[in-house]
Amino acid sequence: MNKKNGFTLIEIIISIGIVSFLSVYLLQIFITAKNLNEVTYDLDNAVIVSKSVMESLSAGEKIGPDSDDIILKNARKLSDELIYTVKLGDDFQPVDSDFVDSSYIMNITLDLVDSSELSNMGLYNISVDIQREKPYFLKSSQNKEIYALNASKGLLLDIGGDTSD
Amino acid sequence: MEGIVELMKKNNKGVSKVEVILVMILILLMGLAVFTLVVSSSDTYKNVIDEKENLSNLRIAASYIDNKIKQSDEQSSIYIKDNPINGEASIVIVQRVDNENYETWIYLNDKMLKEAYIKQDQEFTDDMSFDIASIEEFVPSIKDDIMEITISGNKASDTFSKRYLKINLKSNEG
Repeated sequence: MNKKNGFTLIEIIISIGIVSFLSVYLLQIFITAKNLNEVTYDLDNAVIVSKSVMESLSAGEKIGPDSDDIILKNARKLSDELIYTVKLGDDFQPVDSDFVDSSYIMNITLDLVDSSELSNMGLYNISVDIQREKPYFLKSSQNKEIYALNASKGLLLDIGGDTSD
Repeated sequence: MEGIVELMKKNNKGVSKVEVILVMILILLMGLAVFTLVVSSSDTYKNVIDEKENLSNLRIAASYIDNKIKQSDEQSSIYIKDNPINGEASIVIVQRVDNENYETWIYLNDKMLKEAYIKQDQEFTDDMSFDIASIEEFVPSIKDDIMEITISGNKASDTFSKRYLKINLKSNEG
């Protein structure tokens, strides 16, 4: 009997099928892991940056060009209401407000609750939220909120010059 | 004529050289595909784990520093001093326990954020400390009421990043 060694075409097609299936599955796992790491990076940074802004405001920092805080210094007023916005780059540091390709946007909203003429102080509800402008890899959703921090703090009524463009 | 038919029958037996080469190429390609898959997967896996570790170390360091400062935010208790081990700026927290002053040193040495808890007059050496997290940069400073701390992860990593912490020291206000 003539005994044949080697693989048949069917065996090779099945092997290629298994390898392809594994590659697709592995690729999916790695894309998910990469996106999860990016979500962690965003959340870590968003928490630290939001807390830092809140701490700076508590310490009496102004919002606008007069501020010593680099993020508050770059804040731009959106409307007549006390809503400020800061564009952030990949490293969560402020970029120019005209820069169209920013990675994140921080919104700082101040809402006066009670003012005191005597102390020149006002109690404000402060809300800081950070949104991601670029979608995650192979995801379509944009402008996703990463983190929001709310607090009530007493601030000086003069909260900085008008920085609207 | 019979001779030619006989020859054709002979040639149809077994496999031709081209067939053998094609099958060999196919097997080689498959082997290469499997090898590439294994190598690229292990590379990607390593990168993902490195990034995770980097992020985790930065998170632990930031959270630890923030908690420690907030817990000890009392009048004349938080200072920035150069440590005697490598001369770099460190955070020193002074606490009074049973009429004796104790110091908590938070400093960076050998790419490791460390904490040491010693008596104020005690000589401070590196073996008195324990490790907090593996980071490469730790720069604390105090300006007015605000303590600013810069920490950064593994600089060789593709995912190198810095964190800028700000803590409002209530004890320095007024």
